[in-house]
Amino acid sequence: MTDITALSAEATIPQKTRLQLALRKPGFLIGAFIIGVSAMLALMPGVFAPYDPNLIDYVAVKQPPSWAHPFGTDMLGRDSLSRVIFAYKVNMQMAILATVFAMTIGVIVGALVGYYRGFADMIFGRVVDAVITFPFLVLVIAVVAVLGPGLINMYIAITLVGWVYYARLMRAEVIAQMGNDYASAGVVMGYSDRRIIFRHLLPNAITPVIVYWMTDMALAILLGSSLGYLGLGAQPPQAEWGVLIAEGRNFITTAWWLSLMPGIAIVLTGLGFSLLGDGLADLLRPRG
Amino acid sequence: MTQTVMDIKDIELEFPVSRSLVDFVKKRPGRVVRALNGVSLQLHKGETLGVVGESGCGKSTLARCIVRLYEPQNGSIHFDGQDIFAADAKADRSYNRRVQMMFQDPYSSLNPRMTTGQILSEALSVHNMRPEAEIPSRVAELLDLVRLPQDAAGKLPHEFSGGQRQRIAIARALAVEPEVLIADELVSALDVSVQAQVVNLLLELQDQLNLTILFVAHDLRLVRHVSNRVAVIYLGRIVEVGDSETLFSNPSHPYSQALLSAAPSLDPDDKGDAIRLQGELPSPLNVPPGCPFHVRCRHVTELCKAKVPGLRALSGRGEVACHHAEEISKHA
Amino acid sequence: MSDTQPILEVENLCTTFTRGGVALPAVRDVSFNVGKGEVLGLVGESGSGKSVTLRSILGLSRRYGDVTGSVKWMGQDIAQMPERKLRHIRGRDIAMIFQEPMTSLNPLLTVGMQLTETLKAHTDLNRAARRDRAIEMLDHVGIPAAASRLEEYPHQFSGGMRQRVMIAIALAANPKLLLADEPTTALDVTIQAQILDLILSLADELSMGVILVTHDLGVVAQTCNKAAVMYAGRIVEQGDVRQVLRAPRHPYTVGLMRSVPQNVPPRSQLYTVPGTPPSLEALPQGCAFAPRCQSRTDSCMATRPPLESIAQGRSVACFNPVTDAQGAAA
Repeated sequence: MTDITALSAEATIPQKTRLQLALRKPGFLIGAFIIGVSAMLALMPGVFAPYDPNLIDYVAVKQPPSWAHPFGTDMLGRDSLSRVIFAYKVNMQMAILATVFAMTIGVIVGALVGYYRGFADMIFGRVVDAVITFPFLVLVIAVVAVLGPGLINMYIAITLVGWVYYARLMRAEVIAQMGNDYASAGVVMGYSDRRIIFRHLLPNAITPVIVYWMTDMALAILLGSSLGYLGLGAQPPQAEWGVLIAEGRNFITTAWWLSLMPGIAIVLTGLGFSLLGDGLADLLRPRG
Repeated sequence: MTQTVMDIKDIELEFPVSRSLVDFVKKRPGRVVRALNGVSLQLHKGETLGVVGESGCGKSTLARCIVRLYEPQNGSIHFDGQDIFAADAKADRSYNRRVQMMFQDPYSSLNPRMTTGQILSEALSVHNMRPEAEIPSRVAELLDLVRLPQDAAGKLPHEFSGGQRQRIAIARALAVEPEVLIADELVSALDVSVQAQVVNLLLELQDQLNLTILFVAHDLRLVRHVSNRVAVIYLGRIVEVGDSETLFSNPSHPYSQALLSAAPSLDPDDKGDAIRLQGELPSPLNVPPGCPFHVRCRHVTELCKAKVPGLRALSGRGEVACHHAEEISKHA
Repeated sequence: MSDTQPILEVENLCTTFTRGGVALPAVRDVSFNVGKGEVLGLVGESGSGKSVTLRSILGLSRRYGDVTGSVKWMGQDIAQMPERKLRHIRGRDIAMIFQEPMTSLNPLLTVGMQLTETLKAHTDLNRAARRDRAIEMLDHVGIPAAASRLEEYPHQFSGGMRQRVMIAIALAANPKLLLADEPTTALDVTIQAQILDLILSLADELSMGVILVTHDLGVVAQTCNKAAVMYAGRIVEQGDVRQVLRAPRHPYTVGLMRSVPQNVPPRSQLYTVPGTPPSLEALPQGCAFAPRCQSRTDSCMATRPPLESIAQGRSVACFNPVTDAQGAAA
């Protein structure tokens, strides 16, 4: 309704800050809590884990969950809870390292092609077409296959493919922002292209990218553990959720907890990132 | 003693329209929007030149060409004798300092994430208008100049009303101490009572700072009020240009006549000698041959359909682009 | 004397929106009548509540806010009428046209389909008769080659032509009252003149009442019989259009009239109303205009002046109304 928007334009609402409003949303709070706890577990797993994750105990093999071992033990008698907690370090690292480079490259490339258009934009369009034709996982596996398995190569592979998605989003948003006269005003004021792109357009265009980044971190954990499961990512005995699930696979009927617990950890962290992303979308939207 | 600061000569600008699938199949050539079809105009030092016309007539495009947001395909614009689109001039950012523009939409012309203070100091520091240390006091001066309270510096655009935002936009333009201001529908988005405040401010600043203003608007009353001279533009061409009072009290071109009589008077009993135009503005996708106005004109003849009339001076009037200007003004 | 009986009587209409826990009184105690064939202009600046008033009449604000007061249509209160019954009045007896002819037509349906849809809902005509009537309507609102244009989509029409289509749809069922919300604001002046002429001649022909919401005083002067000036959700002055515009009594109306550059020396300073309209969640305790008013007194700040009749059909909400002589000088 036009009236309602007219009203809001006239009547700026002073009261609460945006943060206060966001903190009222249960989704955002739960997401922030999950990610906060996850980050703590990742930063200092030793403080929270009851045992050494690699401590082998042949006396207590494949023990079901108990007070001593809340998540049970695996086929080598290692404490499952401790292994899941130590895996936070690797998996949260994945969430960051597999996305942050892709995002940085994507934001810069997307902003540049969105601002300048022309020939570079045409080439970029072809690259996007080529990349999105294939499922993400297939491309990443192909790159890992060339580079060889391992965590570092996995990060490189995900970055090589993932930046395209960020750049595409950024480009569209920059083009939309350029429809606003403040961008034209920058040109008229005689500001340099660099200033217009990075000082004016980027801060206004980056919100959807940050929201996408949150979901992408969830996807990165999922992808990283998939690769770990397939033996292309983290390598055993490294505690990593995908590796843990793969280890438990052979005993799924006799020791179900081995695969279930890391699975729950994946779902919970993914949920946390998604909720946080939704909340941030509200928090970062410019007003007025 | 008029001194021409800006000389616009025969500028033409077309925008390509992306071809649809049907166009490809039927092998039709790509179509173009002909926004400007040979506009010539001089801007004299210290004057306000009003540019009026209906939407899509090219008045905003003209404004944007002057500040180099668009580059015309033909014709030239000289500022202080220098071609602003010459290769060496384009890199010269001092032109952007000397010729400033204000935009129509007060909600999109300010970066929503920068405070008023940041917006103004950015303009000051990029063009080295003041040493770094003096910037805050200059910002305070600028806020004073446009009558905004001093605490405005710390606020974001969304905390201001439309009229206040246009004041910020004016302050930003004035920060770099320009000689020419292009006001593109500066007050169109504002309420009547606020419009008057901003117009007063603009007129006052013009006298105080000796500014030359190009005032683009569709509100004829406002244009008449602020302008020394007025240009009427129709489908990318200037159809009449001349002294504001003469043109408004005695328009010569049939389009100017119709435009002026269409503006509703505030007097309920002044129904005007209502010259109602038949039909709609033709699309700039297909500008009619000959005089662009001939399809809606009451005085149309065969000559009008065949030949584009050029602007020519009419005694006692300004310049008019009409084959039959003499006869029409005799009857009027 | 049934002809002088108003067809629409609005009394103490209030519409309140709530946003983030704060009540926004968009319309307050608005009362007016519209008679047969009468054109009422509702003038005000953005946020004055003029559009919300119009929408509240047809029950369009209910979903977004709280509406109280009475809206009597031919003696029947429609303010609290259930949506299902209201639907019979909407479109048939009371029609509405909006500011944006671009967005008020469905882009996926042909103009003919949208016209006949209205006819189907509100008349008993059969298919062929509906088509004939649709052609007749388009013809009536001045669309050339009406029969062939029935099959065209909204995007094939220009802005002015789209507004004509909207009017044709609105008038398809022969309404007795037309609510027009800034119908010409998005159009150019030469087209605006055509559309206003059209609305006026149709109102005259069909002796239809019209409420025209606009911010343009010139449009009011040229089209309306009566005018009501709104400020911050209330009517501050009401009466015959000649009296209101020629001899405004409320300081706000005076300010509005004098802000428009007409009959003043070129390039002179215009009269201005200082300040800006108050925001709805922080309305002043007394008269909403008092903080901007030059003739305010202490009582203006403390209590709100009621809308009081000062002459036949003329009322003003002001403790110190401008005298006739002062107003006329404006």
